[in-house]
Amino acid sequence: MNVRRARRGLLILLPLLFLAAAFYYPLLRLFREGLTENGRFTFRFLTDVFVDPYFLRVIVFTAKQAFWSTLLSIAIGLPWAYVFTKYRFPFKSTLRSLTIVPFVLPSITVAVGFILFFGNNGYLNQALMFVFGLESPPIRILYSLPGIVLAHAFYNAPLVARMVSAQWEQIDPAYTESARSLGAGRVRRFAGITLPMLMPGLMTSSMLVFIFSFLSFPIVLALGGAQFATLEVEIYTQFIVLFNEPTGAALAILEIILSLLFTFGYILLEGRFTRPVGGRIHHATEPLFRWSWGRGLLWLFIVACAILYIGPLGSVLADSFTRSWAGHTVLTLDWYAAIFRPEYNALIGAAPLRAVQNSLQTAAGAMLGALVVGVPIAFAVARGRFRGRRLFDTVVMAPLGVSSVALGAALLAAFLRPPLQLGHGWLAIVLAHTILAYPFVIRAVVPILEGLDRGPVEAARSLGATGWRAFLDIELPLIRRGLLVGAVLAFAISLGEMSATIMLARPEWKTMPLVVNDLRAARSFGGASAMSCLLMAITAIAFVVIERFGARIFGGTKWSKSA
Amino acid sequence: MVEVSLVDVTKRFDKTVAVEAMSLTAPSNQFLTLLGPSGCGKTTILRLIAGFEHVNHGDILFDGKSILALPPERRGVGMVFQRSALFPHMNVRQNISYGLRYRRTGDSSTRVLQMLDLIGLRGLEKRRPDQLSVGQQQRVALARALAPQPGILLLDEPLSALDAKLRDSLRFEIRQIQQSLSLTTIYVTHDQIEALAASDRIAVMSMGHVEQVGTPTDIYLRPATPFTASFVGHTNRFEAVVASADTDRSDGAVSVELQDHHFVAQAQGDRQLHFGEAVVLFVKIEAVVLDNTRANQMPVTLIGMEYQGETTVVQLRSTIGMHSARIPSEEAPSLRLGGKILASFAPEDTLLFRQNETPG
Repeated sequence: MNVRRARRGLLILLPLLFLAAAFYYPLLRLFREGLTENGRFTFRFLTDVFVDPYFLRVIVFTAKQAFWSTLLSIAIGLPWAYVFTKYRFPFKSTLRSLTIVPFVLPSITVAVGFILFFGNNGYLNQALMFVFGLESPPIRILYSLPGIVLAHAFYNAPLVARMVSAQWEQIDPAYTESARSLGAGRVRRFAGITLPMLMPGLMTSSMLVFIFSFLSFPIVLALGGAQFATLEVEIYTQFIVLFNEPTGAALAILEIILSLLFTFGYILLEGRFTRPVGGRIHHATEPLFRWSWGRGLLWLFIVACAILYIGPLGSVLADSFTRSWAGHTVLTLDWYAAIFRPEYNALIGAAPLRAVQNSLQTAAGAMLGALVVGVPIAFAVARGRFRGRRLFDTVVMAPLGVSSVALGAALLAAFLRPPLQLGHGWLAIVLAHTILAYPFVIRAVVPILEGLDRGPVEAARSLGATGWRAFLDIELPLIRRGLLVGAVLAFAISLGEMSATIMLARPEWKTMPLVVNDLRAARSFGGASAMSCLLMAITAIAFVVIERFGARIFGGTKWSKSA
Repeated sequence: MVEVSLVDVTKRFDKTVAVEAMSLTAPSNQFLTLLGPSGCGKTTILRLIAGFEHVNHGDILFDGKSILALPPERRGVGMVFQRSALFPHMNVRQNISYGLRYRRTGDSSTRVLQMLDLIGLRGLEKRRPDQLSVGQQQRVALARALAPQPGILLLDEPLSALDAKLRDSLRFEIRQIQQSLSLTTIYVTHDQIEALAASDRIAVMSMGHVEQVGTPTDIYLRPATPFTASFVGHTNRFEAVVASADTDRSDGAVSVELQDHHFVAQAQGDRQLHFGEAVVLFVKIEAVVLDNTRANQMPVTLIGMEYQGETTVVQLRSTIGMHSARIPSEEAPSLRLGGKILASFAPEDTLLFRQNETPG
């Protein structure tokens, strides 16, 4: 019995050791970087941040854009949830599952889509100028607050819709029906009955959106322009552009403290609001496609949503297949040929084909790492009743509360600076992606493990199989789907990850999202689009696998985080 | 085959005691049933024997040798679970032959066919568990447990998920197979009918200890404790005090009174009861008749009747409480709801225990 316990302990020790080496040690190095000067402890860099009006403006702007992003996400997500709860229409379940796409869609591709579609010279403005015969572009939202907020809403409104509609479907129609029979009108029924009952979903999802927007990097980098930086972008600038590492580290420390506080707040909120989930209550739905004047507003919303989502993604697709030639727009495959070229490209400082290879290699490594770290933790979470369980949960969940750029900065400080200089950074990138992806493996495997009947495993044991054989013969085949979904998620997350990667990648280890970003910065949008489409295609495959084998994973949120 | 002995076994989960200082022997080749309400520790006993749980104290012996150090896979125990616990990703053949991989016992494919014949499911070897009925699943689970020729068969409420008819026929089959293989079998159930029908011996359990071990007739007719008396069969229970001076007659007859009623009852075993002592009196409902032909009589009001086919159970109210009687159904038409009648039972049909009696 003791031998068995020791063996099980060892299995848990390995992931913990990994986290210690790849997460906690780098964090320590980052804190040292920001809190020491010439080997002596100092608060100077941290206090400088609070004295400098520029940094104060950055902090205020970070919070401000996150606030507005949250509001807009709710403004879009709430009616969206309403449509999904109250109406029926063709392909409803497909559309419902599409709401997880933004989670696996690399955000730099969305940023490129926004530039192409909402830009001053973008498809939307051109269309509006053409239709209304205007002289100048009517919509000017890029490189300012509204553009960032809209892009964040693009990402997060589906999350709000998903969480709120899940809540909505739990509300027994008898409540509003009895209110109606007591004489309450439409508005009073919503404000007095439905809205208070939606509050848990609304509160938890908006807290999540706030955290995601607060920590968002690629979108702000691409759409904020030179004037609008958030903490996340500023950390990147200090480290990579200005080589001012102590200040960057101080900002990262500040951000880590804030984001851990937010995450802690979120967990408290979720714990307070989590109720036993009952079955989905049947709601009478109306067909959506029936015109009446009362539905004008509803249709305006649906059309606006369609434009918001199809516009940017369609623009990327269109842009990747066209180029202007002698004043005309012609179809071309040149951009795709360009991204598979093995020669050096001056715009990105590397060979494009190499970046594709790098991405696939990194994603494979991160997938493997996430499985090796995530699966034993998942077993401990699902099965383990042991001393120090709370501490264990905190230790393995803490990485969720640290932003990607800060994580990149920490790994940079730990592994790419003396005394440890681990080669050209590939290992550090894989470590970063592993840290970002393993919670998704846990998220994919734990529900399956919890639903697993112990009977077959015990039957195998009594039929003569050792514990290890029973695991291989019985348990492993039964959790295969969860492992597959977790692996695919980890692969997709690594493939689209840009924030930590940009902190760590030397030119020879650039990945696809970094190439998209470089081409975007160089305003070579055809190439950026083609590379984005390639990323989106792989994402789509990942989505199909996840949808086929385990869409339920995104039902809750405890282990979820944006990539 | 193997004789299983539990010696002074205690098992705790955190702070709750599931099994307390329990000793019990399952004789070789016999069918022993652990009978008790849920939570009495009977399933825990099976899991301790199979090796899925570990004792806190005591020993478990197979043929006199301790097996505590052996992991489940080396105990040679076949187990059938409440829910079949078939391997969902394997077909019937793969399920049955699974145990043969780890025990070299001749040709596995002929053994599988033998097993399929034994449970009458030949022809279904390619089916997956989810393509079988619940009854077929349990048969396959039984075949899977028997295939490697275990020395002991453990069955954990294997029939509880089945409907009544199927339960009867499968129980009969299990008993047949057990007898033809002379296999030491330990069967766990909370269903007394199952226990009475199939067992060589029954161990009645309550709150982590054994109340009584005996043959089905012992358990039914001669319960040794108040718990067994009330748990097995349907009984009327009276709380009374001893009215005669001690147990004065050699046949153990005692006079008891409760309120204005006086009954003559039979003290169990060699209990010496004293005047004024608080006692519990049990009378099986089939021992109560609705006339004055038995010695102990009480006036009652008929308040309900439940037709159950051959017999009818009637609900009665007297000045000392509610009672039941089982009467032949042909007597029922003459009865009238609300009618005042006389009920009686014989002294030799009673069971008398001390109140607060410690289980012996």
